[in-house]
This record gives sequence, C-alpha cells and structure tokens, in this order.
Amino acid sequence: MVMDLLAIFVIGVLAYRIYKKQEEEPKKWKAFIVIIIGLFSFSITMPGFDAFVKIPILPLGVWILYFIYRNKVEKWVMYRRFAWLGFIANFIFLAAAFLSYPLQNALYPENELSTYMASVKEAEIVSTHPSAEKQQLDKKSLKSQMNTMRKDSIPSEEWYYNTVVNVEPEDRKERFPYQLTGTETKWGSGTSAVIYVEVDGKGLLVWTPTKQMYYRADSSILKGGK
Amino acid sequence: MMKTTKLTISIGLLIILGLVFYWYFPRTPVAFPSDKELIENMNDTQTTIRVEKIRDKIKIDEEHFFVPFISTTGDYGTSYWEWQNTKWKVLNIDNSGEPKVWKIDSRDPSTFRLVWNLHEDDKVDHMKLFLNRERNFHVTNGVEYYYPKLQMEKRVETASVSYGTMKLPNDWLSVIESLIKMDSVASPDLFGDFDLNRHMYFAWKPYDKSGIEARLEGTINGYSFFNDDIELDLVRLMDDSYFETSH
Repeated sequence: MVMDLLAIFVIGVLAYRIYKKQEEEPKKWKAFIVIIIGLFSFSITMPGFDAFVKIPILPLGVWILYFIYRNKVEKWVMYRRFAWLGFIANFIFLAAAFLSYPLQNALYPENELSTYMASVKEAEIVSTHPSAEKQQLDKKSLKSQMNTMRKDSIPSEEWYYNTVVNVEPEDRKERFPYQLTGTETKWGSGTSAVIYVEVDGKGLLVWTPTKQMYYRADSSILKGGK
Repeated sequence: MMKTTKLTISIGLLIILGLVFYWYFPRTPVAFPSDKELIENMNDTQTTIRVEKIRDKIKIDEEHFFVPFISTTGDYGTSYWEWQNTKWKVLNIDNSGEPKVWKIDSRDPSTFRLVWNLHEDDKVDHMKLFLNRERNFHVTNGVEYYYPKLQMEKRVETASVSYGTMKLPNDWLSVIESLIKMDSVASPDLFGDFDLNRHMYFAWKPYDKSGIEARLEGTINGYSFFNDDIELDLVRLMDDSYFETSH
C-alpha cells in the first residue's frame, strides 16, 4: 500500500519532467489520459518468489495511441513520451510490489505475536471444550507478557496422539480448551487470527490465514475458577 | 385520431408501470396468515405431506416465520415462511421435526436459528445442542497445524413444549465470527461466502427424564419439500465416538 503510493509519486515526478522538457507544452489532462492508456499491456505470468509475477511484454496501449495519432505526427511527437511512461509504469508498480515484501515484514513481522495480538482491550475467554474450567482472562497478566512470550515449535502429531491414544472419548481432555476472542491484529496488517489458549493458561496457539504459531508465557493468563 | 392514440398509449403505459410497481416494489409484510390459510397453502403447494394442525407460529423477524405442524399421518413437521414482496411464501415443508439450522443470511451467523419440532411420543425431556469440530492435525510444506477439538453445548428443555427456535448463543457466535474473519482474509475473492461446514458442524443429543439418551422413533428423517431458496442444514445426532464429556 505504502509502496504503491510511492510508485504513483515516482510516475508523477517523471511525468512532470517530461512535461517541462517539451518545447510546446501539451494539455495536462490529455497527457494524463495518454499515460493511463499507455498502461494497457499484454503480460506473461511467471512463477517466482512464492507468488506469480506478471511481466508486461507488449505495449498495447502505446500501439492504440500510435494508431489514433497516425495522421497527426506533430501531436504524436508531443504525447509519445507519456504513452511510453504509461507502459514503463507497469514496471515501476512491479518493482514497488517486490520492495513491499521487506517493508511489510519490517512493519508486521510474521513471527511476532504483536502482529496478531496488538490490542487486548476487548479480549475475552470462551470455553470451547467441556474439559475447560470456569476461568476468566487475567488481562493484566496477558498485557504484561504480550511482548515477552517465546515462540515454540508445534508438535502437532504428538499433541494429537497424546490426547486420544488409549483414552476413551469421554475421558479426553483437550490441550487447548479455550479461545481468546475480541483481540485485534496490528492496524494495517490486513491479517486475522484465531487464538486458542492452553489448559495451563500459559500457551497460545495462533492460527492465521497462512500458518499456525505457538507461544509460551511464564505465568498463566487465566484466573479464578476451580 | 392522433390524440386518442396517444391517450390510449399513455394510459396503457401507466397501467403497466402500476403493475410493475405493485409486483416489485417491496412492501411491509401484511399480517401473518391464519392457521386455516397456512394449512390450505401448504396442502396446495405439495401433495405428499397433508398438514392437519398448526402447533404454533413463531416469528423470527419481520419477514420470517417458523411454523411447526402435525400432519394427518401424525408426523411432527416443520415449515419455513418468508415475506416476498407481496405475499407470505412457504420455502420448505418437512415432515420430520428433528433439529435443523435455518441460515436466514448465510453470511451473518446472528441470523441463524436452530429449530425443532420433536414428536411427543418420543418423550424427549431435554436435549443438548452442540457446536462441534473434531480434533485434527496436519503438516503442509513444513508448517504444522493442530486443530483443538471444539465441543460447545447448550441444554434446551423440551418436556412441556417439544418445538421451538433458538438463536446461537453469544460464545458460539464469537467463535464462528472469528473464523469468518480469518476465511475472508485467506480468500477475499469468495466475496464473503462463508461455508461454516468446512470448519464445524451442529449436532444434538436427546435425553429422557432419567437423563439417558432418548430413543427416537417419531422424530426421524423424513420427506422434505423445497419450494424456494432456503439454506436449511440438518443437525446431526451426536456420534458417541466423538462425544467428550470429561469435566
């Protein structure tokens, strides 16, 4: 988002420089439209960098404009550069997309709990399994430990089998019998999380659209109940 | 001559406009039909289920009613009604009253209603309704996933009144809404079409007076007649091999 704005700014600066260099100054709104049409392109999609990258190869917009101005040579000379700037803008946006990855990671580190749990003002504990006890959220404890919880691995297979093997369904106790609801992810991160709380109140299983993470605290974030 | 033609055409246009306006302009619902009208309407809509007696007319919102009934063959059935522009229309008629979820707006779980009309011969004293997900795990591209078992329950008394409707309890709603939110980030191109069944399901368990599971004979899978668009999901009987009760 930030990088997209920067890309538009760069294109604006380039357009202004072309505009000033012309001996005969073209109409501003026409130059603007020419840039937009210049953006049209045929692109090929290449896999790479964990995603698909669209690389523009044919400047369709420039061709269309060339066709429109085919009988007005002096006009075409005036607007030609704007048309090509439109095509080049595709590459500027592409570069911005590449650069936004490290920026995104700096603002919203993908392994930091604070990205997924920035505000706990409205947080609440919901019991999601009958083995849960009547406990409440200890907001003070949660707040004071938010930035010091340690990331740990998720031994998912072990958790699963330790809970079910040789245990009758009616005796099974869920390792994560609570959900922490009402938390907010970091502003602008565009992500979302479902957070489960471990039975001892010291572990958080954070489930995001792309992965799961597990964090441990030193003391319980639950209180009361028995 | 010209004048009369023009006049005829404009009057014709006015009548057509008026009709279009009459049919398509949404109007506030008129009073919900009487028992007799409901029975006639349902028996005219289909021929398999013969409705004999309306048990109740439960208003869900201004434009939706749940109507439990008894058929001539003694089945305890359910029907679902919606106000559509000019009339009350039955969306579905079902001759079994086992619990179902009526998703009035499938994107908004606060509009979901659990509905039921249990057969009185089954003598169900109370039932438990569940929001469920099985425990699971998997590893994808080196990322480990663990899904805790979800089993949230709500007890409903059915001894004196064997039919009813229920909103989803608030804690169920917050659990479902957090998943909707995550799904919409994961695949925004779905335009908010959320499929709850991908994540969890509703279940129920009937009990008799002494607290053991009630045997169902009257309240069983039946014939369901779909008359118009409705999202109606069956609530499954709780499978004991997934039923965890430890406290």
